[in-house]
Amino acid sequence: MSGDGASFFDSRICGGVGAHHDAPLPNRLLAILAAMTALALAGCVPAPIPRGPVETGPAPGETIHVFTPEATEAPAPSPAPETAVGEGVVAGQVIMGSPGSSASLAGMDVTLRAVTVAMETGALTALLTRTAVTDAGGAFRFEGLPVGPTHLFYEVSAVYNGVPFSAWVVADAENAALSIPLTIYEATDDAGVITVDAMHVVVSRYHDALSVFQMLVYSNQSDRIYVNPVALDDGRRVSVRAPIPPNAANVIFDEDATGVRFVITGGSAYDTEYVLPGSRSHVISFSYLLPGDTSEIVLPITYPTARVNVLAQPGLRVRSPALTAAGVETIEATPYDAYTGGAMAPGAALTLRFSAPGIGVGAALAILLAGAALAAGIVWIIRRRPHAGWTPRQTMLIRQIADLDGAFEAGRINRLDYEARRADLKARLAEDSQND
Amino acid sequence: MSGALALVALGVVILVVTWPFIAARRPAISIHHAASADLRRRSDLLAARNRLYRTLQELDFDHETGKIADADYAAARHRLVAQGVSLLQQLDALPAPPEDDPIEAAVGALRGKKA
Repeated sequence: MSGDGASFFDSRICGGVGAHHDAPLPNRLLAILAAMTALALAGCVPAPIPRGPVETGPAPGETIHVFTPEATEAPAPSPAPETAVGEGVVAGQVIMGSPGSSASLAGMDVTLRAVTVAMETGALTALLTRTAVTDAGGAFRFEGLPVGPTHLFYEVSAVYNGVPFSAWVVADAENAALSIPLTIYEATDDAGVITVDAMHVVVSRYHDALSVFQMLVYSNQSDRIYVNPVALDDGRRVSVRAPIPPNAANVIFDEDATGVRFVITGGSAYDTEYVLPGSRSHVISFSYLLPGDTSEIVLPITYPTARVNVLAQPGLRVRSPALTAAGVETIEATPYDAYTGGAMAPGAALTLRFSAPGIGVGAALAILLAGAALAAGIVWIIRRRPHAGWTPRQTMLIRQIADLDGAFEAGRINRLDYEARRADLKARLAEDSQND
Repeated sequence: MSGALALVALGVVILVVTWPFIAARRPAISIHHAASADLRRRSDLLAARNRLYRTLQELDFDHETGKIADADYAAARHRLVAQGVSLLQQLDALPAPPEDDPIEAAVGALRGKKA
C-alpha cells in the first residue's frame, strides 16, 4: 500500500467501498459464480427468480415473475420511434400471492410496455407504453399490440401499497394472444422471516490483492415480501443487508448492470430488490478486493445461516473456528481448498484467518544448506581477519600494511617510500586503537 | 509471507553457525597512547627524511645543470645534510617496537595465511 509503489491494489482498484469500476476480475470468478449458482439453486422450488429479460433469454411464451422496483429498473429503454399496432393481445390477471390478504384487486392501474432487445448489445428500445385498469376480478387486457419483431418482450407492472411488481413475457409470433399473471404480495418488515440457506465465500489471490467473492442464498419463510424496516436516506426501501469489510475496494455486484440495485451505506450493502416468499427465493453475489497483506476477514452474520462454504486458493491456508476442512474442489481446472461450517446465528461472525503455507522438508533443507553456505562464507571472512578484536577500519589498515610489505618484497616500491608509508599506516592504526 | 519466513530461518541458521566466531572477536585490541605517539613521531620523521632526500636530489640536479652556483650549492647541501643527520638521530632515538607488537602480529598472521 505504499504510495509510490504503484501497486495494482493502490493504483488501479483502490476506490473504497462502493467504488464501481470496471475492474477486470478473474474470469474464473464467473465460472465460480455459475457453478455456485447452480449449486445454490439446484432443486429449489419454486423456480429461481431471474432479474431481467436480457440475461435469461426465456423461451417464447414463458412467463417470468419478477419484482422490479422502479429505482432499479434499468437500463432505461430508448424512446419509441413510433407506436406499432398489430394483432397482438396481452391479457392477464393480478393475483394476490399472500394468503389471507383481503386486498381488493379491482381498479388497479396496470402498465404495459413493449420492449425490444438488441441481443448483441443488450440495448433496450421501448416500442409502446399503455395502461389499463383491472376489473372486479383483477383481470386486465391490452389489444392491438405488435407480435414482432423478434426479441420482443412485454412487461406488465402494477404498484401495490407503494411496492412495484412486474412480470415479463416473451412475444411469440406464432401466438398473438399472450397471458401474463401478475402476482403481488403483501409486505412484512419482520427480519425474522429471512434465513440464509448458504453463504458461499471464495478467496483467491488477484495480483497483489486478495479477491473475495461472496454469494448469499436467502429464503423468505413468510408468504409476504420482505421489506427492510429501515429506509435509505433518499426514502427508498430496501431488503436484505450484507456487511462489507470496511477496507474492501472495488465492490462489484452481480446482476446489477446499472449499479443502482445495491446501495452501500454504513459498512453494509442493501438490496433494493425485495425478497419474495419461498425457499431460496433470493440470491445476491458480489466480489471485492482487500489489501494483499490481509490476514483476517471478519464476515458478520446478519440472518440465521444454515451453512457456510468457503473455497480458498491453495496456499492461503484458511483457519477458522467455525470451519472444517472438506477436501479439494476443482473449478475450471483450478483446485480450491474447501471448508464447510454449520449453522451460525445472527450476531456471530465468520472469521477467516490466513497463514502462509508451511515450509516443506525440501524447502527447509534448501534453506539450511543455503544458510550453512552463507555461514561458511562469513566464517571464512572472519577467520581471514588478521587478528580477532580488530575493527573493520583497523583490519583494512592491517591489510594495507600487508599489501605494502608484499609490494616492497616484490620490488614494486623503493625502501624510502616503503618505510614512510608503512610507518604512517602503523601510526594511523595505533591512533585508531589507542585506549587511554 | 513464506519468503519472509524463509529469510528468517536463513538468518537464524547463519547466526547460529557464525555466532561463536563473532563472539570470539569481541574483545577489542587497544594500543597505549605512548606507543601510538611514538609511531606517529616515527612516521613524521620518515616523511621529513624523504622530503629532505628529495630536496637534496633536486639540489644536486640543479647544480649539475648549472642552475645554481657552486658556493650556493655547497652551503645549501651542508644545511640539508645537517638536517638529515638530525632526523636520523631522532629516528634512532625512538624506542624500538615491542616484540609483541600486536600490529606486526596481525600483519604477520595475515601474510602467513596468504602465503
